[in-house]
Amino acid sequence: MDNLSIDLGTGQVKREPVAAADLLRGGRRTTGAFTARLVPASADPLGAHSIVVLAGGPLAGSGVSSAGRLSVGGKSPLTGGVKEANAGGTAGDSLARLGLRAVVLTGRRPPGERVLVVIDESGAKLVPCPELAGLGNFALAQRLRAGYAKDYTLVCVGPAGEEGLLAAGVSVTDVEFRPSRLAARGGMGAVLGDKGVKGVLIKKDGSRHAPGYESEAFKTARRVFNDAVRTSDRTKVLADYGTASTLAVVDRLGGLPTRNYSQGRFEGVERISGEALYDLIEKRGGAGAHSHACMAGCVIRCSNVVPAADGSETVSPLEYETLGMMGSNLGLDDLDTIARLNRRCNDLGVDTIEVGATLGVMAEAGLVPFGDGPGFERIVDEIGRGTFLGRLAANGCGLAGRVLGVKRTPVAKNQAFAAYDPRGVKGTGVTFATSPMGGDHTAGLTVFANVDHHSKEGQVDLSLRMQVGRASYDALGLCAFLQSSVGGRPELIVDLLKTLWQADVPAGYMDALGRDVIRAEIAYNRAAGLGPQTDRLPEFIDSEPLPPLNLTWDISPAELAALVDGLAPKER
Amino acid sequence: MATPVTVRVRYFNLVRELTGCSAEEVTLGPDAATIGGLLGTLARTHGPAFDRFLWSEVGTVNSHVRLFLNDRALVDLRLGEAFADGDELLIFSAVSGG
Repeated sequence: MDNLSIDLGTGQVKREPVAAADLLRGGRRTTGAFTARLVPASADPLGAHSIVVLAGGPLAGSGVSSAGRLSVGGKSPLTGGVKEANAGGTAGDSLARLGLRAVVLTGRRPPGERVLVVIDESGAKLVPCPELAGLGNFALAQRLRAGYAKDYTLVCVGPAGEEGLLAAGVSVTDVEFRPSRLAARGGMGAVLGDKGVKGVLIKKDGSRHAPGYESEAFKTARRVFNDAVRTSDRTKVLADYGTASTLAVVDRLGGLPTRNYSQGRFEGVERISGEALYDLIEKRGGAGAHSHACMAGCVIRCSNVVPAADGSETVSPLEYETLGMMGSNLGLDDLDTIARLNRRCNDLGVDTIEVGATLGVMAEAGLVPFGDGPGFERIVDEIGRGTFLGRLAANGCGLAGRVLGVKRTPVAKNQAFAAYDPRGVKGTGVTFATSPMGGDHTAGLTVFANVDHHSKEGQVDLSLRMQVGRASYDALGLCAFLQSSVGGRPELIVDLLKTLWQADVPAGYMDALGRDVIRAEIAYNRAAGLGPQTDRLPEFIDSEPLPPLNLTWDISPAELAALVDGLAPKER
Repeated sequence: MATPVTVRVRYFNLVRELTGCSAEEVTLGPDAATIGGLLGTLARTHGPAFDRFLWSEVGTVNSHVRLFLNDRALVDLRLGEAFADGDELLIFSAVSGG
């Protein structure tokens, strides 16, 4: 198992073996380690010293369900700290079958130049592609389909990444070569685009495997694991209703972002809920699908395909966070409008959470009325045209709040909250405040825990557990949705690691791994200037009760600091 | 004299497939107007699949059942908790992930 380093300035490619100590970890652990090693903490995230790391986990490419997530990491131009965003699709498996744990992209092409990075068994080469400059992700995939769709995964940036917009994500193709799985958060698309990379094509049909791949012990562990996932009742909810099923729960908790986080319940929730989405797909048929796998061999299949009225595909997938941030947060109660907004964002290659939050702030400033679907669609279209309004919409919610003088700007470490109001789901608020990732639900979502989400009691500990658990999953390339079915059985994952890599796995490995990941991220952020004062939520969360349940935030800065200090004790 | 209590019950995600409806009103006698009483009534009404969804083999409510009584998530479920007339109970099948 190797790492592949590619200097984009010189075209030099270097393949080096993964250190023995790193064979059982990858993903977010690997992206963070390369960032710490290669990117000075003071470096400009869009400067010459930036890097983009694409990393899979140790179980990728081995037929284990939902184990092929791709981590995309480096220094974030949005938060100013270390960032990892991960996505489904086929990239993680493709890298693993080429015997690669990570691809490290350093240097940059001359300004204005665009290249494709093509990776196969023989190594990597840079292919100039001026004809692809400025293409949306769907047109790009269509253009590359003839030559590459069957045999390659595409990892790419849309126009937003090429323009260096801070809401730009990195897109990954799914099983059908649809470029709509986004490592969306933190602006990593801007970093990749700034380097002059339009896309990375990764050959799918490598034949390399970890040493225990053919062993009976691994095959047994894999069968037990996949069966546990497949037969879980909770998997069936995800398969039929996807993450959209969360909407009604969060609304009932009074924590659903509505009209720029000014309310916690949405009067139109029943028109955009998971149940409404299910019914729409059922009624229209056509290209629609309740259940869809973004990774080959995934038995959860939580993705969906949303059809238009004529049965043609509008978008795949449509998920909870987009329904929240581009639905209730904008006062929109029409699934077709939200689906079109999502499709357009996927084409531009921007994060629907960051853009949705920014549009909410723009609406509060009076640039467009809440509930005005065509108005929001016009602004999103302007992102692609590079107008002032478009650039404002896609350069981060924090910036828009400052430009427009809006105090209710829902960000932590300058990254937008991901569709959970901290006053209604307090543990997730703790995560937004304290995670090195900023306002990112994937860093430690607590909403599914059977606790009183309105009480502060136990929320700091709950967030800590979730942050550590998520970090370990991210470092293993595992989909968070596995937690539905096997979250309480870490021994199943340990058995997979042991038998596939024929290695000893120490007791408490996953917990230690998660803590190690976060500890290193905090250290990097501190060196980058993100001190304890950034482990906070914006003032409006403290000062405004959230209607209609009048929920308040009552977790003190000292309690938040205790979580961070517990993970990364200060040097004495 | 105690009077019957009417509770509006709403079903979400897989639960509505088990019951075949998304909402209904259930009127309970005063002696059965508790959470346990209502869940028992619903299990009998909607058949064995819904019964198995709600109740474990040892007679406790399954951990994947999520309930809200009006605005309040029922975290520490007390089967003897009484309803008031006009209360709303929401029933979800839990997931996790996100």
